[in-house]
Amino acid sequence: MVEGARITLSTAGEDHLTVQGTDGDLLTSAPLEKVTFSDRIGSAPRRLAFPDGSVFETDAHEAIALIEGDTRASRLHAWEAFRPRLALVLLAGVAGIWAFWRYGLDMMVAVAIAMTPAPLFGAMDAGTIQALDRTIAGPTDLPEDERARIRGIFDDLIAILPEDSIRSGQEYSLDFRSIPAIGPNAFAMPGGSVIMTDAFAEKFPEDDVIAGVLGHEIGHVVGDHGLKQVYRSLGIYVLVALLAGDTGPILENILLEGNLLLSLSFSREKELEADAFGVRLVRDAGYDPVGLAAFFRRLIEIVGDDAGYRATHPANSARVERIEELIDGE
Amino acid sequence: MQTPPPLPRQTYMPAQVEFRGNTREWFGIWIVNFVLSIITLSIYSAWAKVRQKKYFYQHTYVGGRNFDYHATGKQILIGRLIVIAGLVVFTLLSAIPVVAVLGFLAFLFVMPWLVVQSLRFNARMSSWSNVRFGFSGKYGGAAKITLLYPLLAALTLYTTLPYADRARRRFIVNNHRLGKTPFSFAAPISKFYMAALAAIAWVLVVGAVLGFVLMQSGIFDGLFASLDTMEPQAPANQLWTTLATYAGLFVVIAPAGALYYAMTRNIIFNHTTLGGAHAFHSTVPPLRYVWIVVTNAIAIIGSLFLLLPWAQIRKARFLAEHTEILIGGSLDEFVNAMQEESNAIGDAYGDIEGLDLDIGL
Repeated sequence: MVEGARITLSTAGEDHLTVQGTDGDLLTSAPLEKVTFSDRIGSAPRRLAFPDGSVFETDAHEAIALIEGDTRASRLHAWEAFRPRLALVLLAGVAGIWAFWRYGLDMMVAVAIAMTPAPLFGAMDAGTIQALDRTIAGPTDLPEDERARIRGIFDDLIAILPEDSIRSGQEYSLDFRSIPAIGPNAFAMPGGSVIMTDAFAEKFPEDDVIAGVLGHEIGHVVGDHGLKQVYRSLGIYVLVALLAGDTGPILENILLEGNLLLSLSFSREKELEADAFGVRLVRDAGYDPVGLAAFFRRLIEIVGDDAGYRATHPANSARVERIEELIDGE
Repeated sequence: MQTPPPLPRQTYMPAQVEFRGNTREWFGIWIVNFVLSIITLSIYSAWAKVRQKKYFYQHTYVGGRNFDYHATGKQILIGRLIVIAGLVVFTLLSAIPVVAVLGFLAFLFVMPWLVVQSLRFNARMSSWSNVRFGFSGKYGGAAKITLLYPLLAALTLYTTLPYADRARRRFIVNNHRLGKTPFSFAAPISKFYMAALAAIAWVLVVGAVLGFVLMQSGIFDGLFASLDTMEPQAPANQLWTTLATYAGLFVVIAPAGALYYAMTRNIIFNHTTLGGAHAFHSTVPPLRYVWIVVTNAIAIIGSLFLLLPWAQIRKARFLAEHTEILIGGSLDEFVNAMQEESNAIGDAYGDIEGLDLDIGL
């Protein structure tokens, strides 16, 4: 290591950099384009690496900037300078968060869904059903003819699904289980498997109500809501980790809790979307769409109308209102 | 004329670690990093990470020479893409019960490899005074510190956790080298127990005080009522319960973690030598460090993250101010070693899943 040296740029002929010791000895020298400049970051010293392996380090930032000229790295450094222009960057950051949340995430989720191999859909459904059977679900006790009647309604709805709303790998099927833990309920999985609990068929036997609820569940599958939810939370998890950088565990927790709340709002939004889809599908199949609204009214009587800020579903009364608006509007 | 007595075998020249970064510079870099990351749907964040590391390394000086970070954004990006692809496949396949179990077992086997890769990559990409660091830990050692010792500690109801932690630090420090010169660390276990007891004492004392205050304030009445009746809480009550939980995290858990960090940092630095010639000295006052960490977090949240760069600079400066290198020989004798291959996969896993291997300079 040598302390103290001077660097000279000679522009006669081809640009050439020469480093001399304080006593005038030649230390190293190379054509300018062969010398690698370290990126300028804050006020850290610049390092110039010469082809012979020697490294010249200096704090003479302005001189080096002159020699280096206008490069991508120097423009980046100029944007980082603390001056009024930085307020523009800050604004861009705020706008960026909003746009990213509003559009960017959906775009990334759409790409991820398009890239998901079709066989995985069926495999995921089968896996979930297996897990249910092993834990909280038992075989159905519904009589054969009752199941056939409900399957008939399901097939009526599937029959009129637009061709382009069925993706490869998705196969619609309806199954029945006795799951006392979740009461009267029905749910759909990404691959198109819909499960209805015995309690549901017993409590809500009317054709129109069953059609309404099945239409809603089919709406979830057609909209890929389940898969979107999985990719979305995975995406946000990764993005918080990458964008926030080194924030420490507590702050990261707070960001992720915020994300959880936002993903619940996403979930409530998707419930309304599925309601709207169900209403249209059911009406087109010749059932009375009021059935879904009637279902939610009865639900209010049974379990109440509470939708906290941590709820996955919107308030039942709000859904009734929305559904009636939809029916009236068309 | 008498010849002067020979110097004692080990004479140290203390050299203060200096952090020369400042908030103005770092704020500009941070916000530009963030905007470019957002615009590119987070692809640029790999380059942003490099720029962040370079900023903090290059502005940290020992004996007038600074550190540097040499990874490229491209290396980081490739590592991250591989990890994200793995994460996506793992998440989707987890829906299938048998595969989920197998996947978890496979992950246990991969974990030590990730740890070694991460440490090796980071060491190899870091330098001081143009001499690269290196890491020579192996899979077996990493398997012990990530799987075996934590398991043994759990079997003793965590009463031997300080042993597991010391083994972890020993594995990390003793396998590091600067150029060809190895670091070595050995410390009595009693000091690790002291640090753990201090953290536990904080949790018990502050936790009891906070619990008492919250009980008196009646915030949890709604929660207990709902536990009694099995009815869900009213939304407003839920909000209070959540906020109280965060308050707990804030004044109980986080400071205890900071306390333990500061105390173990001092232990590690004060019991580590470099090539037997140079030593380290860390004098971080634990309670002042807790104060820095807590006030930083409050400032960051209160400013909606705008003060994050300020907080990061403040912490880096505080730690540097309490660190000395005790130089016991020439600083010019470190020679670069042959560099082995390394990849950024372990490092990327650390970024995304928070694999914490920081021993904290």
